[in-house]
Amino acid sequence: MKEINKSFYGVPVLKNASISLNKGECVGLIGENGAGKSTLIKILCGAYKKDSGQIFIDGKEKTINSVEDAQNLGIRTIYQELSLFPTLSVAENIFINNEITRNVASKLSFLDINTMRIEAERILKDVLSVDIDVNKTIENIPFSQRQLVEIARAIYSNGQVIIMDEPTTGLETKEKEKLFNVIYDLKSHGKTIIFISHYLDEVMQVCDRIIVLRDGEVVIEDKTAHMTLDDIITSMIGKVVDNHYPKEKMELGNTVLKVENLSNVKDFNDISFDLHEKEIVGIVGLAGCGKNEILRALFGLVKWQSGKVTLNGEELKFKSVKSAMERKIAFLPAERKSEGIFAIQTVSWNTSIAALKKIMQGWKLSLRKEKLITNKFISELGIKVHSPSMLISRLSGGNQQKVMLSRWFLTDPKVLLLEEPTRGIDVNAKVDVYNLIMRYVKQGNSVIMVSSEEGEVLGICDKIIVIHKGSMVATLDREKTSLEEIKRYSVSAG
Amino acid sequence: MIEKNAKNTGRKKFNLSSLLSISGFGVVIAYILLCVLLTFLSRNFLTINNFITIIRQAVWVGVMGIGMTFVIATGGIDLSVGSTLGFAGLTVAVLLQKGIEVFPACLIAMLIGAFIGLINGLLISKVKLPAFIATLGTMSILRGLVYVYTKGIPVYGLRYPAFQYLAQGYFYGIPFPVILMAVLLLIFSFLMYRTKFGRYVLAIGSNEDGARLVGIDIDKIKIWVYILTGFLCSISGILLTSRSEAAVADAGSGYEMDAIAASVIGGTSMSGGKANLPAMFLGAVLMTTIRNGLNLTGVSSLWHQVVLGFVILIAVTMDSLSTRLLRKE
Ligand SMILES: Nc1ncnc2c1ncn2[C@@H]1O[C@H](COP(=O)(O)OP(=O)(O)OP(=O)(O)O)[C@@H](O)[C@H]1O
Ligand SMILES: [Mg+2]
Repeated sequence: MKEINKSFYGVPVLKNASISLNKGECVGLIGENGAGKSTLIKILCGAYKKDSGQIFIDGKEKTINSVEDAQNLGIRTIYQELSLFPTLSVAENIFINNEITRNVASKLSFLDINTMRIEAERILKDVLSVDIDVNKTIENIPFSQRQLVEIARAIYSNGQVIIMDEPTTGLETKEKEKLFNVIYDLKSHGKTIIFISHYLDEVMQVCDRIIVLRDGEVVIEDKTAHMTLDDIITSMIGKVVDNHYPKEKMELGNTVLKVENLSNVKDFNDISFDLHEKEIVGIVGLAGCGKNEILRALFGLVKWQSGKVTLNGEELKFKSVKSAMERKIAFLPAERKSEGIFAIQTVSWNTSIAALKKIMQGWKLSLRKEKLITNKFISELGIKVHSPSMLISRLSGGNQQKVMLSRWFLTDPKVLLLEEPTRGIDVNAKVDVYNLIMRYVKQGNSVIMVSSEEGEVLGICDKIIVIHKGSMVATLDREKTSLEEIKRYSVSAG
Repeated sequence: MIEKNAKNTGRKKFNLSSLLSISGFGVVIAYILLCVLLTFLSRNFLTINNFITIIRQAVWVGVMGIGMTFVIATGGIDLSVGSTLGFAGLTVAVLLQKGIEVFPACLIAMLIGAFIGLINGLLISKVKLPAFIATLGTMSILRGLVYVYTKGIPVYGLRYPAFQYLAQGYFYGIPFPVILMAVLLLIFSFLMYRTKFGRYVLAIGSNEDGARLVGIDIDKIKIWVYILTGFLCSISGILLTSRSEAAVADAGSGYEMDAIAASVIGGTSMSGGKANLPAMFLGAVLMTTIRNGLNLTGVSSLWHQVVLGFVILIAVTMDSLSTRLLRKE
């Protein structure tokens, strides 16, 4: 790709960005939130049109005007926001637009549903070694598995260039390893991979070459072996950042939330723990182990059959999300696109929707107040946006996530439930988010978070609960445990 | 920095796009073109009196369209609006004939309208029927009941001054229904854009799962939206009965399409989450103008449907073109 330019509404997003890709190579594309990574690859895969610039494949200039053009040129994409069809089955999703057919007569062919099912199972089992029922519809499998289906779809369809926009968000260490093996395998078959991620250690592990994008410009393009982590971060952000967890040791206060023998049989069993003032509790475990359901139960989204939850001495019986919110509990869902953002509304609209009380003036919503509050968050979290009245769907993924965090902080929660809080957020902004969480906890509030990133959990949580197949296998103290121990417990009950 | 850039590179375009971004702009253009055309075709078109007539006639669909816009904004649809109108219109006529005072008669009709809305809302949110099916059912039942009661014979002769005033009276020289329409538009625009309720309506239409997770009681909001719609339809029904001084068995039949068309012409998206009430009324006026213009120019009423269909397509196309133009920049 040569000298690609792109602007939205007169704002340049890509400025003469040129990148090159070789056969059998995995290239890491990194940069801050809003640097233009997704935009660049969307141009390559035909989702956006470039303003100027050229694209060459095997030395010949190609025009890519649509996603179909890109597909015909062998370009496959795993988008940052999942793009599966929720009401179709796993197998149907994997083979969408690439169906296996059986010829009956010369022009008439039927879908070979059986073969597709078997093939889908094979890809998921052999290549990604996961056990997913391919007949289930996407809406009926856990979120973490959806990402794997998306990956399966991209690798199945035999492309030459495979683009992965933050493929590892929401994946567990083990699944990440599997993905990396897939990448090595693809490479050895001469395929080219573009790998976008905010987990720089991963990028350094799997990529042969790294391209750093800053404000739409390529600032560095070099072999991984020639770079250090610090170099990369400095060139990404344009300044030296302290990427350590800003954890402070604090005296814990009274018990706020008490969970006793909570079970719903299907997802989790006999869960008990206490949450104190100023405490951050992390829940970890493999995908599908039930950790998300536990968190969701505490927000009234998943029902439990037996056990007890008490908040400040009062037993909780949720009728709805509203009753959880009235008790000052907030919940940030991991699935940004389907459960988080209201895509056709503006940034300020999305910020205020859970806490409209804050912008009321008598009966009336004050748009002025709304703007003021939104602007405060925009500067506090460094959200990259031209104005609060911009549509949220036009923000980069990481910036949308920051808006989601603002939404819930605005509700002044006492207990904050976070599902993958830093999903898609860049290194620099992550530290901002952790700082924000720490400041919030310091005021006497508490946090429970579920994260697939063990490092993050170990970095900021006081107590770490490990779940295996729905049961608690260990409760670990931050200061006395290690990444290895957490991992060991997550994979087995011992 | 970023903002400066935007202004430098696209000053001229910026003005154009901000104008185009006013949703319903395409409709305004379509409307002006239509008026110019009709002025050439008929001498009687461009008169104040004729415009007052047009606006007065647009009120039936306009009042109903307010409700329809709310329903569509939640991502739903209400096909029973025309039948609710007919049913409420008949109710008020029958009550008046039985000697009940104008005010209580209207009140009862409005309550019945709201009750019909409640039933629709319950069927949709509690029984979980698709809105299309649920309201198709009530639409048929209500129209059927009207036929059963009237046996097709209109209830007429409703010459009560206070009742006639509703659709025929003037308030400081302005027709009363026009004032009513303006007041309703104001109130409901406020409700849509400046209250929690309105926000929740739009939230449900934009992303229902997301709405649930921010603590919105989806069932409750939906039920209220259908109640509002039923209530507004009954007002339309009362006005129509007052205007014709009779309740006709097929009053309001087919109006559901007009109300949907008015909303859509006004830029309300059928998939929900967006709404523009003033532009919806403009849509209603546009359609009435066409009917009126065709009458004046002596086009056979058999052709009205055909022309109307074309105009709807043109208006909506122009609107979508202007948004696409905007997106390109
Ligand atoms: N459809 C759009 N309309 C307007 N602006 C857009 C649109 N898509 C992206 N942008 C803007 O372009 C810039 C780059 O966005 P992009 O999605 O490429 O960032 P990114 O590098 O992928 O960030 P992230 O790490 O957060 O995913 C952002 O400032 C964003 O607001
Ligand atoms: Mg991105």
